[in-house]
Amino acid sequence: MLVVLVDNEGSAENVARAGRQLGCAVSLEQEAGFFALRLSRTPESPPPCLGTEPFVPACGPGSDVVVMIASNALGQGPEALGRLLMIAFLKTLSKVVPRPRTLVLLNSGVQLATSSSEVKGALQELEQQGVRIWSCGTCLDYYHLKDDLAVGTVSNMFDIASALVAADRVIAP
Amino acid sequence: MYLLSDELALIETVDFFTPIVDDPYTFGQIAAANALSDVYAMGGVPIVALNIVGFPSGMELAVLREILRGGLDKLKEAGCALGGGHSINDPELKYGMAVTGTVHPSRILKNHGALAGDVLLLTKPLGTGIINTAVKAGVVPDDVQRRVEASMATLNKRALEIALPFELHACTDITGFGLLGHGLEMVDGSGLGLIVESARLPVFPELREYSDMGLLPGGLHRNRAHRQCRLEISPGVPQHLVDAVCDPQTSGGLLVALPEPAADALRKELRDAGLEAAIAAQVVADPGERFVLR
Repeated sequence: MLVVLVDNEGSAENVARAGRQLGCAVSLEQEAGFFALRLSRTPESPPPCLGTEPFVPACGPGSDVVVMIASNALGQGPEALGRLLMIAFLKTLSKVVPRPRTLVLLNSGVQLATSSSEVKGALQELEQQGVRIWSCGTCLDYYHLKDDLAVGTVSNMFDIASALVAADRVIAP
Repeated sequence: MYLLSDELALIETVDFFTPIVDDPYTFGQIAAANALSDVYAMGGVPIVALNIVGFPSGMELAVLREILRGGLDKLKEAGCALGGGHSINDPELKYGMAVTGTVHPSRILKNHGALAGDVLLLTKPLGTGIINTAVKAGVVPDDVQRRVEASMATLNKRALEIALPFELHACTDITGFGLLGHGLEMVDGSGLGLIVESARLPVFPELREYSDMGLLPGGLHRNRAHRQCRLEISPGVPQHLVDAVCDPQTSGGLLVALPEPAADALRKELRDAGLEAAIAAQVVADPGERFVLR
């Protein structure tokens, strides 16, 4: 089921018509300040389009998502487990939609974007899908990894801080 | 209207808007045709116009040149001089004109005053609001878009010239309020009503597809809500034709009120001149003050 929220009656009617045209059952509820349309497929609905790429909004409200990774391991606990979880997280991130706009790597997190990283391929895939991969320059210097960066670009705290405060959501696993 | 003498009155009008098509030259033509139309709707002749431009500072000046060229070409076609204009820096592009026209005070056409037994004749098909919305949604084929653009860029000059010798009781041009709003204006205060035969309405045929998809401009919903209490829709009228009468038009056609026998002759003359004229409504005493779509 798809739920669409709009802020006026005219738009609600437009979306309802589009839904019915696509063979969906449409219900409309007026809530405080907005209209909620619920579009659901029925047994009579024509088959959905197959073989198309999932729709990934390029921009729009709520779509500026920054993923901030400040370590090469995910969560607290045994380090070996943390590293495995981080690898699993980044490999999965390249498969889910919507994609984040920016992935920021800080502290030991910058090791994930180097040539020997196990998730180099996953990060390259994200980059090809338009995700900006930023590694903190100070951190790369500290670990002597600047020449070993294999994915994304070297960034600075100004750009990183600007992206974080401008983001609609920041995900820090 | 401003009375200069017993023989001469001035018509002053101004209209401008944001682009409704991508091509700058076409946009210029449409904006000019739309601004000039107010003079024709009052039965006048445009004599001089001033350009009004809002233009974003980083945009290529070639775009502005094309817009102005489109506007000037329409002025030439109208036989109207360009007296100058004014431009300002504006983050959102806008173009239009202030137009001065003249008319004999006793022959000025009013947008009300239709009589029972008249019909309302429309000189362009309805549906530009819906189709322009569908263009923004990217679902309109090029040839359909060109046809609608050509209609919007057509001056109402020829239509007025052909209609003037007839006994016209009222005249207006269909713009933002659609046939519903501008039609009802023609009978406002008279107690008369309108009957519209939906099957005979002049509409762009593609309108149905886009109406079914819900590609309706906000103004359409506002027009319907505003006149809801006077709109009466008979059972069985297709939804897209309800939308057609509420659809706000850009540079729409003239709507003229005249007795029915004369209207048939006028319609034929307009058609012979290549204009898609059609009877849009009948003016009736009963039901009064209603817009009946059947």
